[in-house]
Order: sequence, then C-alpha cells, then structure tokens
Amino acid sequence: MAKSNEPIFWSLFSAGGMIAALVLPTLMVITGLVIPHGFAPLDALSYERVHAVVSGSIVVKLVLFGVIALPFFHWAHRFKFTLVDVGLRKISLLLAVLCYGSAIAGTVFTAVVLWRI
Amino acid sequence: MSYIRKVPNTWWLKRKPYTLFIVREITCVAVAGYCAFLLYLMYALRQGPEAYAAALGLIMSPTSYVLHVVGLLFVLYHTITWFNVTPKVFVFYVGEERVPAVVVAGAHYAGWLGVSALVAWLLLGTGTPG
Repeated sequence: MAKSNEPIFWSLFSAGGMIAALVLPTLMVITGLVIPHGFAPLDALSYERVHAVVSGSIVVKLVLFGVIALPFFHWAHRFKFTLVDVGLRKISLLLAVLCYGSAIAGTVFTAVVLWRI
Repeated sequence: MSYIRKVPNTWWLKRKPYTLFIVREITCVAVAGYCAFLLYLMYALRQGPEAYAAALGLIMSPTSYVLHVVGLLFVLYHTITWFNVTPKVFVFYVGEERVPAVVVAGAHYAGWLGVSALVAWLLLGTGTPG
C-alpha cells in the first residue's frame, strides 16, 4: 500500500477499535444473554420500538452508522496484517484490496440501508 | 542483496506472548461478525415487520447463543487489551508532569462503564420512546 494512504486507514482502524471496545460488549450481552435468558423481553427490541427510534432521527442513524461501519475498518486492518504475519506476505497487496474493499463495500451498504429506514 | 531469515508460519505458537498477540489480532473477526449481524438487523428493519421479527428471533436460537458467548469473550479481550495500550497512544502532560498510565487507562475503563450503562438504558430502559 502507498505510504500516503496509511494515516487514513490507521485512523479508521483506531476509531473502529475504540467504538468496538466501548459499545459492542454491552450490545452482545443484551442480544446474547439478557434477552435469551429472559431478563428482558424480546419486545424491548420490537419492530415498532426500534423502527420508530431509527426512522425518526438522523442522529440515531449517524450513531448506528459509526457503530456498524467503523469496526469494519478495524477488522480490515487487523485481519490483513494477521494474515500477512502468519505467512501470506507475498499476497499482501491483494489482501489489502480484499479487506479494505470489503470494509468500504460494507460501509456503503450500511449507509444505504440506514438512509432508507 | 540482503539476507532475510526464514521464519516458519507457526512462529506464533512458539511462545505464549506471540500466541496472545495473534489472539488479540483475531478478535477483529468477532468484532466484524457482530457488526455484520447488526447490519443484517438494520437491513431487515428496512424490509418490514415480518423480516425484522425473523432476524431478531435468531438471537433466541442455540447457535446464536454459542456465537454470542464465544464472540463476547473475544470482544472483551479486545476491549481490555485496547484500553491497556491507551497510555502508550495518548500521552498527556499536566504542566511538566506526564499523566500516569493508570490514569489514562482508568479513564477509558470509566468511559466504558458510562457508555455501557447508557447503551443498556437506551435499549432496555423505560425512558425511551416506543
């Protein structure tokens, strides 16, 4: 990868890592443990409730966009370098294109989906 | 031509710190996997009530339970390792004194607690509309 791209991708990696560290554990505890074990009703995340909150607010959409899309870049950076570190150095450029390409595609898709809700 | 020493691809299994480094790096798969699930939920939310109910209903399945528990362990490892290196990334000075590492990391843990409480309240609390 050209050196000039490095700071941009590293910033996205950092931002995604921070978002993931702060927000994902609680979300996973809620959708993975709290609701399945019955400590909160499934209706807490019902269509009516979630749709009303998301569709009515550009701020909520922006927050969701950040929470969903930024970690994709965190993944792209780490996954690419992990594969390089365990022996795929020769296809480093291809891995960069695939990983960052996936993250960019995921980001565009996230934006389109949230915009249309 | 410079000499590059050949390193076997299993180098990270040789010593515990190397293995933990790779484990830390691979936590990104759990991170992206969960975000992909969130994206799927939003996609279903866009499709309508039936599609959303079906997507959300997945969290009640045994497969989801296993994925959540394993994923959560990886994500927690990410969170802890991430906050623990923050003193190396964020260097602050108060006057001439460098803010101690434990304060910088501690602030992030405190922030985590605050964000977690806020997320739990927004999703499960009674104070939100709906």
